[in-house]
This record gives sequence, C-alpha cells and structure tokens, in this order.
Amino acid sequence: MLANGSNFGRDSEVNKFMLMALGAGSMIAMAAPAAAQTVTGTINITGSVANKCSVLPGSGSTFGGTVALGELAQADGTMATDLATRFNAAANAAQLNFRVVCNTANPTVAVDATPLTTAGSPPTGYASRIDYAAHVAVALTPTGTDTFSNDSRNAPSAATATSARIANNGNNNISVTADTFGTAALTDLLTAGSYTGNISIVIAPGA
Amino acid sequence: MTCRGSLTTIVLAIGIALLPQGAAAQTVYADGQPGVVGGNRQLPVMVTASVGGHCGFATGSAPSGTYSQPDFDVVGLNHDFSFALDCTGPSRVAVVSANGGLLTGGAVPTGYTTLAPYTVALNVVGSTATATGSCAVSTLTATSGAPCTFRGPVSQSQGLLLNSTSVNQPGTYLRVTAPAYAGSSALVGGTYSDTLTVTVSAAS
Repeated sequence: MLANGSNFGRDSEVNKFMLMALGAGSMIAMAAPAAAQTVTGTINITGSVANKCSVLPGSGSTFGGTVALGELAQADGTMATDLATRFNAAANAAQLNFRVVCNTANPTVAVDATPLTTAGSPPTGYASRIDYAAHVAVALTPTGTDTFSNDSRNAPSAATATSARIANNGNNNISVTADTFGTAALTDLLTAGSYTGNISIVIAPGA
Repeated sequence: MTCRGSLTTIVLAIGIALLPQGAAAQTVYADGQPGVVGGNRQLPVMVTASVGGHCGFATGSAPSGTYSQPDFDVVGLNHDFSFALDCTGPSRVAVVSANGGLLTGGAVPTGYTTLAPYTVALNVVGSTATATGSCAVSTLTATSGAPCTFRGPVSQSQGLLLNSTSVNQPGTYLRVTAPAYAGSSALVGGTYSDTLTVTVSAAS
C-alpha cells in the first residue's frame, strides 16, 4: 500500500502479468515470417512410340547374309546331296543369325524362298533350278520359338503373327536354315552356270 | 486512482520493454511518485513489426500446359515450360513426377520397358541470383530412394533454393529433355505420359 492509497504491490503483480503478455505479443508480431504458403502448377508430358521393328545393333531396317554353297553338282552331274549340310554349317552362322526387335506384342513374319537358278531353259533331263525349303526360327520372350517356313516350290508364305513378343535379351533371335534341296527329278543333270536364289524375310510390327 | 496508476505503469513498462537495452536505464515515472505531477508524462514508445512476405507463382504465370512429342524415342524430348514467381523473399521450387518417366500401360515383358527416362531441369531467376538444377526424372517420384535435391513437395527447407526475391522475373523455366532412346530394353509401342507437379514456397 503506497502513500497515495494505491495498492502498488498488488497492482505490480497484475502489471507483470500484463507486461509479459503484451511483450510476448510484441515479439510474435515482430518475428512473424513470410507465410509458408505453397502454390502448385501442373505440367503434362505426353509422347508416343510408334510400332516398329528394328535390326540391332543400331536401328536399321534390313539384315542379310550370303551363303556360298560352292559346287552344286556331284561328279555325275546330278545335284549334290549335302547342300543342306553345307548351308547350315556353323561356318555360315554369321550369315544366317540376326537380331531383330519389335516393340509390339505379336509381330508378323513372312518368308519367301526363291529357288537357286541359272539362266537358260534346260532341255529334258537337265535342270537349271534347285528348290529348297527355308525356315526362319524366331526366339520369343520369355521362352520358346516360333518357326516360319516357305518352300521355294510353293507360293510365299503369308505374314503370320508370332505367338509372343520377340526375345530381346542381347542375343540373336532370328535363325535361318534350309533343307530339302532338290531338282525336279533326281536324275536331272545341273546345267553349268552360276546359280543364285534368296530367302526374303519380312518381320513387321503387326497389328 | 489505482486503475489509472496501473495503466500508467503498464504503458511505461511496455516502453521499457520495447526500448533498446541501452535505454533501459531511463527514469521511470509513476503517478504519485516524487517529482511527478499528475502522472501525465509522455514517453516515446518504439514499435517495430514486420509484414509477412508472400511467395507464389505470378498471376497467370504458374507452370502449366501439355507437351506432346510423337516418336520421342526417335527424336527425343526438348521443351521449356516458362513460369514466373512472385516471391518477396527467398523461395524454394520443387518438382514431383507422377511416374518417374514417360509411362505407358500394360505388362512389362522381359527385355522390354514401358517407362522412358528423361531429364528435368530448373532455372529459377531472381532479382539478384539464379538457381539451377537438373535431375533424372526417376529421382523425382514421391517414393524415390535417392531423390533429386529439388524433389517435392516443396517446404521451407526442401526444393531448389533461390536466395533472392523474384517478382515476375523473366527467364524462369522448367525444361524437359531426352535424347533419342538408346536403352537396352526396347520401349514397347504405345502412348506415354507423365505429370510434373511444381510447387513453390517461401524459404526459411
């Protein structure tokens, strides 16, 4: 109790409380940071990958090789009987194995084998054409193989879908073989000349 | 006069509290004390305060839009999304990728992929500084184990830091790039997409 009658002691306690409250309020006001409001923007990116098949390595569109069978006739002039063995020999592996990848689920494969022929029309008892059957084995993922064949005696095979995606494991996945070589008649004598034929393989993305 | 005396004391006390320490030795006057007549002394009260800054995208300049690139596996990606900030203090910008790459639907066969990589770069221009960063989009997903430094969502401590104000500064962009695809796994054919969410916040 002061001389002027004010209750200073009690008021002092009240003042301390109010001082602390106001002081704290002042500190809050002074320390208020920039509001941590977050705002958002949205960006959309779209793109497409066209259905395609590519020859690897690289991204070429053609592949191929050449197999030289050598002398096609036996000593008696008829066709040699080991042409399939020669064609499929390990020495020709680099010419007959390829790596192709398609980014579709069921690519198609068409095969067209054309006979080995030489120029001119052979007389009776002679042959200037050797037919054969070509086979294209396609490795699939995760496992398995589909084989597509065409005999040069027949029309080209129609494009046919694989049963699964073509394997893409870093290894060759297309393997070409041939067999059933023959002339129209076993006794035909091959006419002299240079014979050429080819196996055309078309691998397409499909539907 | 108990009430009047209390108020006077409060005002004086606030004045003391808000004055610098060097001024704390000033005489305190209170009504009824010797030398004080009427208790009506006026003392200066220093008041300091700050106005909270703001930070966001400038009006009409938030990152938005769609970039569509056919055959991106062959021609690659290259596009800038320009935007502008409206931040009166340091800010952070962060990005989250929904897919971690351009993604198409369907199963992923062995040897193939349905997710195409690309790169996200930020170039944030301020009045006195520029912040840049670049990360593979795979590090911008919410679940990435090794996230990009500006992987969002943004916070006061997360995101690309721009230590400058930036109010409608030109030159700020998000860039997406990719070369022609050359991965060992083949991209399956189809339509691919991704969504980038860009957030900005005041930095601490």
